[in-house]
Amino acid sequence: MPRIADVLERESRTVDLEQGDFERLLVRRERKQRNARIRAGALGVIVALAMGMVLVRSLTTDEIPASPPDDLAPAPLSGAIAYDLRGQIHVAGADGSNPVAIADVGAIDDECPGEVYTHAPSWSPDGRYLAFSRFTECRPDPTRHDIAIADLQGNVVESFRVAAGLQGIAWSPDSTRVAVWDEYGWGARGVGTFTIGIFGIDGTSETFAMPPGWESSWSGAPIWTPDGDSVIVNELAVPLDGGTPREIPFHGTFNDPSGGWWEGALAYSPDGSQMAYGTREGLMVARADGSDPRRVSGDGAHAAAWSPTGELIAVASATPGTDQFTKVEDGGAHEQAPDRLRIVDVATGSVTVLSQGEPGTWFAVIGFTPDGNRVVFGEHRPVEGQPEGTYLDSIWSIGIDGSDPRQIVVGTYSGVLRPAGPGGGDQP
Amino acid sequence: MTERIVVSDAALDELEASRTFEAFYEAEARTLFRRLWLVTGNRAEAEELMQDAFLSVWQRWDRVGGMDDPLGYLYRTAMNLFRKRYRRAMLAIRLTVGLAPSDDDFSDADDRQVVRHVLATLPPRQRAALVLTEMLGFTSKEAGDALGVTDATIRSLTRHGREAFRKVMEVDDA
Repeated sequence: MPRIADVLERESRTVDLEQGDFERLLVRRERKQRNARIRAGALGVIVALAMGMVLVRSLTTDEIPASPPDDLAPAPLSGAIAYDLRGQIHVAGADGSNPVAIADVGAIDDECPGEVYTHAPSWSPDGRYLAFSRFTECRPDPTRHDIAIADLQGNVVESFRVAAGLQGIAWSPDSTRVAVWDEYGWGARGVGTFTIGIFGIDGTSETFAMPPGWESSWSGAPIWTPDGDSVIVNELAVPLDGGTPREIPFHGTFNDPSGGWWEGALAYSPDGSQMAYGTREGLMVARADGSDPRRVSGDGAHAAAWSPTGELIAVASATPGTDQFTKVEDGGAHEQAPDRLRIVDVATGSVTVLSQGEPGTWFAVIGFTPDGNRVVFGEHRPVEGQPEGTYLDSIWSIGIDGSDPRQIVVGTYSGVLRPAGPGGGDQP
Repeated sequence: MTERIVVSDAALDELEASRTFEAFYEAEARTLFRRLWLVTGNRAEAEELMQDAFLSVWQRWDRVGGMDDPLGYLYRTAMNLFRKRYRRAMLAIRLTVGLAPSDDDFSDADDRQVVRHVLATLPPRQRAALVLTEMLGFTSKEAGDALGVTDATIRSLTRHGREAFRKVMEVDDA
């Protein structure tokens, strides 16, 4: 069998340079030198000084670059925050400045010529990769869903076809794999097909089908355990060695007295030693294996994020006693809206109010800044004086004492902060 | 009386350097052009990149010529230029009409051979990664440095490229 190198070599020999190629090189050289002289003349004294400085440098250095000079511009996707906006993921600076759409830096791949929609960005814990969901108009398959992983330069490192186009991509703690719902849906006679996809930046791909008869109660992304050995979906921990999924008491969806239902938050501390999770009774903190639980506040947390030191937890929860419901499905399921944003001190249980929304407001906790001094959050709030159902979406940051709120992005309330890994994110 | 033409040492050095560079060019230009054609799929673009890479080397010939591996420097220069052009071209395209790059010699697959059909399905970055690793023997790290990506990206790019060949023809890609 021929080697690929031989195949390529044979193919390359089907073309050749036309005669006079060296003469054309000389012409091109002359043209470049002439253009350089023109530019130098046009810029005058400033260019002359600059060229003089270059001459001095070239005369004084003995260094021969091992590689040609490279582009010194910052990596296009090295911003602090990524968010969905109008069908495209954007990466921006800490204050929302200089947004870059990932489609504009080539982080799409040109395999399909049609329109591409991206959503659900997710940074790897080491800050080096951005995973996202991609919906592409391909031919002949017009409804192609991918999970793509891009580096900070915008190169798509890997991509994986999936059957479902859901929100939510979860990175393994070691930044080598992502977990998503690959298949998610109910087929004929209500029989569902639910499959978790585990995809690696090295191209590996595994799927784990949920037990027959099992039905998902929430479509959020799987949650990795700190040891990377299992992922948690709804009330089950699914071992990735093919073992039997087991029920867990610390995660799931809850029904409220009025018939609404919501998914409790689950978040592991930065050092992986503890977990925080929301229940109907309040915010619980336990060891990472779920043992030794204790209630730290009365917040029935919908979303929670640990501070970098593990001392504080930012929580989005519903104000008790209010009648806040948001319809999420035409089938009539309702969800209790988390209309307040608070910080809980894990050791003392003391609470700091960051923001209390008007009726109908929905807060999403995005996370603490790497220095731990601010919380970034999303806000989905009704607009006063406008027809019912009119909302303003925005992303904000606020000091952990509730001071100095700063608006970062308008038009979305969904975002992710780039971790301060080797890539490093700066501060909103 | 015989007139003596005196040539300065500097002029002699320049002449000698030009001769050796020309010899270097004559020895390597055709091969570089062919490999760049595999990457770009376009003759004119391949020749432009080839010329610009040689011009860049020529500017530094007094040092590059004395390197152990001037050919490696030449290919890294060429790939650096390709990478910059490709990124600018893709950005320009996406900002304007959203069309794929035109004038791809591989694009007309109707009467092309299988190899060209496979090449047509590969994005230029995958072609570049294959050329560097398969034909030039670059390691993933060296190819990544040349293209400005990580070695993991190179492995991914070449894996896709090899898979594309394997699907349509029997090749030994071990």
